[in-house]
Amino acid sequence: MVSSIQHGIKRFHLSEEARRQKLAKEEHTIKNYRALTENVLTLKAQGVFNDSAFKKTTDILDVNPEFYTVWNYRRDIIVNHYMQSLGEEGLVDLFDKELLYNMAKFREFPKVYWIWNHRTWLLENHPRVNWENELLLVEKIHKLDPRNFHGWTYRRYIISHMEKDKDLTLQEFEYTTKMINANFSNFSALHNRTKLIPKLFERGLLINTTHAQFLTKELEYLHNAMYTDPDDQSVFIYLRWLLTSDIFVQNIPEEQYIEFLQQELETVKELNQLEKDDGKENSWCLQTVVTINQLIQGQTGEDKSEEITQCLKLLVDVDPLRRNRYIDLMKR
Amino acid sequence: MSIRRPSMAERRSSMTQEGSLRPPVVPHLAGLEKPLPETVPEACDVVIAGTGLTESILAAALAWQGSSVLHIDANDYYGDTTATLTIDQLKTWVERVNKGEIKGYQDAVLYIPRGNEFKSKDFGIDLTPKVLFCKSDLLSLLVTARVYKYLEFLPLSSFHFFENDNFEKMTSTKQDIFTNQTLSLATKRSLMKFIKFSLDWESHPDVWSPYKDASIETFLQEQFKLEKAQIFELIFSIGLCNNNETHTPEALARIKRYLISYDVYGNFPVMYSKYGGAGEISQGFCRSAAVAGATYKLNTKLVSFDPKTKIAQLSDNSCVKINEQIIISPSQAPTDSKFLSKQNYEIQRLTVIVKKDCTQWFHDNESAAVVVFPSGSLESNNKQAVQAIIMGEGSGITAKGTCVWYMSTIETGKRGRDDLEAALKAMEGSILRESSDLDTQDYFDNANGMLNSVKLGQSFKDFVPKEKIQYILKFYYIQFTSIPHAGVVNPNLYRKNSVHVEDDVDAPDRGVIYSSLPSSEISYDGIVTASKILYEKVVGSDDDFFDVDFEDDDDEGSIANNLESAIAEDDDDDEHIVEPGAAPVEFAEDMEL
Amino acid sequence: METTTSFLRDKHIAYITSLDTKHRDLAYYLTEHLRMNGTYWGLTALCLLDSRDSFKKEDVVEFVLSCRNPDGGFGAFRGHDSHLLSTLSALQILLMFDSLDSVDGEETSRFILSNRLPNGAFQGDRFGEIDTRFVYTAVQSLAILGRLTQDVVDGACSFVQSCLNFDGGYGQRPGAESHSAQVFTCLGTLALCNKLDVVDRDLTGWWLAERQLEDGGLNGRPGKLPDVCYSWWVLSSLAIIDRLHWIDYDRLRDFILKSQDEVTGGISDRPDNQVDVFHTLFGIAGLSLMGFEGLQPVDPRYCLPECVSEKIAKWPYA
Repeated sequence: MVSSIQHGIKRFHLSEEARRQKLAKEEHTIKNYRALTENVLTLKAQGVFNDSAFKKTTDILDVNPEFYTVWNYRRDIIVNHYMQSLGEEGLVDLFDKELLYNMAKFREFPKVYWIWNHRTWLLENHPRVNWENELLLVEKIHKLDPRNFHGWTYRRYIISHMEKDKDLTLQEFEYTTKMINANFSNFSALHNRTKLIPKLFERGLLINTTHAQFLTKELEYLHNAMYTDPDDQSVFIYLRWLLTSDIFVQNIPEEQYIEFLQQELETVKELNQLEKDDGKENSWCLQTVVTINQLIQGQTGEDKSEEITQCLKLLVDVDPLRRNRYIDLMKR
Repeated sequence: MSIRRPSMAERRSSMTQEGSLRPPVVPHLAGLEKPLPETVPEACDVVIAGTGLTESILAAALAWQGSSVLHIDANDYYGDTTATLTIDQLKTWVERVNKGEIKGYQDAVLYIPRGNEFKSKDFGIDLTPKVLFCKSDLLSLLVTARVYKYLEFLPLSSFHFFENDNFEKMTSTKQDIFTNQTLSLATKRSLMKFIKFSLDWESHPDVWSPYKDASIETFLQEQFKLEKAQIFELIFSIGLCNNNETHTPEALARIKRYLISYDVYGNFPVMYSKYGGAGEISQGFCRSAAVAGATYKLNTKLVSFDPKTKIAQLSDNSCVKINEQIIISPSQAPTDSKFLSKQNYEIQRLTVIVKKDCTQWFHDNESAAVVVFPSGSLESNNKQAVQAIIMGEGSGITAKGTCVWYMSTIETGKRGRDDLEAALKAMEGSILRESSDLDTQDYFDNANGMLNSVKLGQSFKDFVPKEKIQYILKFYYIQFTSIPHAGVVNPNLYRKNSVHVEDDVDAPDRGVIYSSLPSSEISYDGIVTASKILYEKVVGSDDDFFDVDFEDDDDEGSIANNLESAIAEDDDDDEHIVEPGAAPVEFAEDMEL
Repeated sequence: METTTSFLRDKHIAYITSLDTKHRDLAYYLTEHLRMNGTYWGLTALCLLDSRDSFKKEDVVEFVLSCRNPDGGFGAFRGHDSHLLSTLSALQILLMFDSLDSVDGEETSRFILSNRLPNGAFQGDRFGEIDTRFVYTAVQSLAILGRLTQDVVDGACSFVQSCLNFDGGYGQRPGAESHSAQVFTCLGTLALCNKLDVVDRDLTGWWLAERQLEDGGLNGRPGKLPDVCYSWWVLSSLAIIDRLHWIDYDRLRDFILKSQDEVTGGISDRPDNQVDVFHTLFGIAGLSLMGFEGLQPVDPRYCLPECVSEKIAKWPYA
């Protein structure tokens, strides 16, 4: 069964003739590929760990970088052959070469789990890792695709290693700012911010900045995004975090926190009014008005149900895809 | 110090250079490397005279369609009105223009100060400088016709516009708007709203049709409550309009053209071809035509054509029987021609090469920028915009440490020249300001202990430059065209001239179709349309315009080849040092379970 | 929204059964490392189409057993290493064909447990890749074998909860961004462990419902393109927390049907792209969850037909 997973590949159908030609062309390749596969799997089964077998794994992976068993075999050869025979310098050289080889595969297949996994394994076993280099690699990957979640996971992994020497939270926070400035719809960067901001406070990295001051600045920053594109859900999801995160809720005096909520409610309503003047209320503004009202209600006990219900009613029309959700919420 | 301009053939094997968008696979080329024929064929379907871009696309389209094409050019180089010329070629060109030998041009002036260390071949100056929108008909054609494989493209993301004696950086993308600290929240919203609207403006006639005959300026003011700075930016930089009176629908189409070109190949709206613009692309199409069997002959022009016998006499004393049509660029009209269409529109161009790298204007790692001087922004109180394309050494057209400034305007007569000179002066002042060695006395901010850097957007009214810009070349000319400014090519333009015996029996150009001289557009827009219209004149319809099924199985080939070499041997170091470059990639989500 | 395309049941069956006949295609060999998963995708789709016997039981079972390794796990193909992903697929296939008794459950569960980590998570194989996917595959595999234990359940649930984000979604591992597919693996794990009480259903439901886009399709994360496979990851998650109706069924159905290949059968990631068996299954499973096209009902917790999943003993064991 041909069970490849096709993503984003334009559909095409070959004519009979074209298919016949394609098959004829592939016949030879198949023969070679199968012979090579059989050869490598046999060597593996025999427990052969040597240079020539290692090179054969390269040959196969060059054609099929998703062949996880061959990646496994490759690692076994490294452990059972090279790590036994090479001195430290030799090993450093081998692992560096292997990292380069792995990077070449990334370039072609930035989303293959096996390739990422192999890299992590290499770093775990490398005698002398240059973590700075790895960080540069991630930046390059993010230049190509700022949302690549393998890249983000890998970045957090690298940082956790580098932080054995020195705290990098501030640097990482700035990295997210850079990514957000390049595109504020990059929720991956906003997400990472939600993980970094608490650390900034917990580790005492913000000198002369109170929780309230920080929140004020962050909200201002976010308003620029909200006004630039009121239809961007990333921004509003992040706003929800800012307004509900323990790091702010528990560290800002209650009265001041309620003031934040009131102010934000006004800002969002103003934006919605502008949208309404242009023809249509904005579903994210309305949703946020609901959320903030719920928060105020929870804090002050003030009954906000009227405004909440009113917004939910509007949402049923403004955002029909999710109408059942709003109807459910109205019932509560 | 200087870079020599490599020949096409040399460049073919050089593969990708950093930042280049050229794909790594270059097919075998036939065609232009073949020695040009001594004689021309006795008969052919179509003769095309002039190897400008429109004519070259036409030649390639006809050749691939199956017509036998003889493509000639009076010059000893390819490109004609869109040629890329060395300094020596430029000198000859100027002389010939002023002698009236090249039709459609006048008042050419070339100033080359003595005593510089450069060679003629260090430069490749475009007669018709252009930039290529990433989403445009020419780019699609370059891809379908596989002509992109002969070329290298570089990105251009810097568009500046001149206002209040300053160069402003553009705010045209979501991230620009988001990070711009001078815009109010409300303006951010309005601007973004307009940008979203303009991407799909055609389907919202309710919004724009009341302004159908109104200027874009009025529309933006009233409908989107934008302020003058943003409006001018939209009209002049993004829309590349000639003036603020451009009608709303036309301007919207131009604004959209820019915006939809963003993020097609990366974070930039336009590209340009390395080693010369339209000249390189023309040659690419000539190569394609040659691969498809067209015959090429330089140094050859039409002497006369007899529509009755359908025989064309050429300047090499040969005669060709033409089965279908003969198409001539107005620049190569035969002597004593009578039917040349009126070239009603004027374009003035001023090109200078300065001894400065001008990197201050370029985006990181780029080598080109566009600068626009909107109406009323210059000392000369210009009515029409002056548009400038700036290209540094990375563009492959100019020597190290130098920069080419291509300026143009549709203003006519003396005013046009004054506007161009005023623009030149503004650019000169700006680049001196940007690049001057800062006087630490003046600029050292003691409070911060930091050296203030002078940015493009800052005004220095009292700035007195200590140095002067050194020109390597200054080149001015007027070009005429039959294509209206910012307008669409009219099919009637390309009608066949009189074949009636009684009309000017002696005219050498009876029965020929004239193509047109390049338009005032600094983009390539309109050229493919022009080629298609001409194609239709020959073939009858443009349905099969470049409807060619090119074999293209590079991908499979590479897997198979990869494998071949893998199986053939076990040897040698497989150091796959591949740096993830800036190549744009479309990624899909992946999840296996 | 009215759709002109109808569900191409017969073509899909023909497409899935045709896949094992492509012995002359290079791709057939280049995808051996996915064969076990592919067989599971194909067979499950056929079961939902009520056409299980389009696959020859003996051949499939023989293939599955041939991929069994001495360590008790299954590889994706003969001679390939054991991995939790292919092991789960193998068990699911055997269960669908009522052939579970042909494996030694003790040995297989030993392989699975050998990949359990001290924090309760699972790695995919001995090379240490950590991902909530593997927690789910391990837990479902053990569930199929009837070998869940309190210890495994507690560890799995606590690891899964450590991957929860403020938005109600779950990530690949602690600290990672919410992703629809990971939400499925985490909610699936909690469901199999009878531990859904820890979920804030309205919050998670909100994040999931926001995955639906104007064209009806569902995406995996904010700001991403829609993809038919999320018809499964998002829908099954919503179903697990009783919020299935929080998205628009008709629009999603329309999107899935538009992604069918009318010539060959099969479903692609989005309209006009190449089809594959992975998206074919998840498109069909999505339609089944919404009750369209008279398909066999699918169990959102297992991605197996309900008539198959009902054979699995539920935790806590009586």
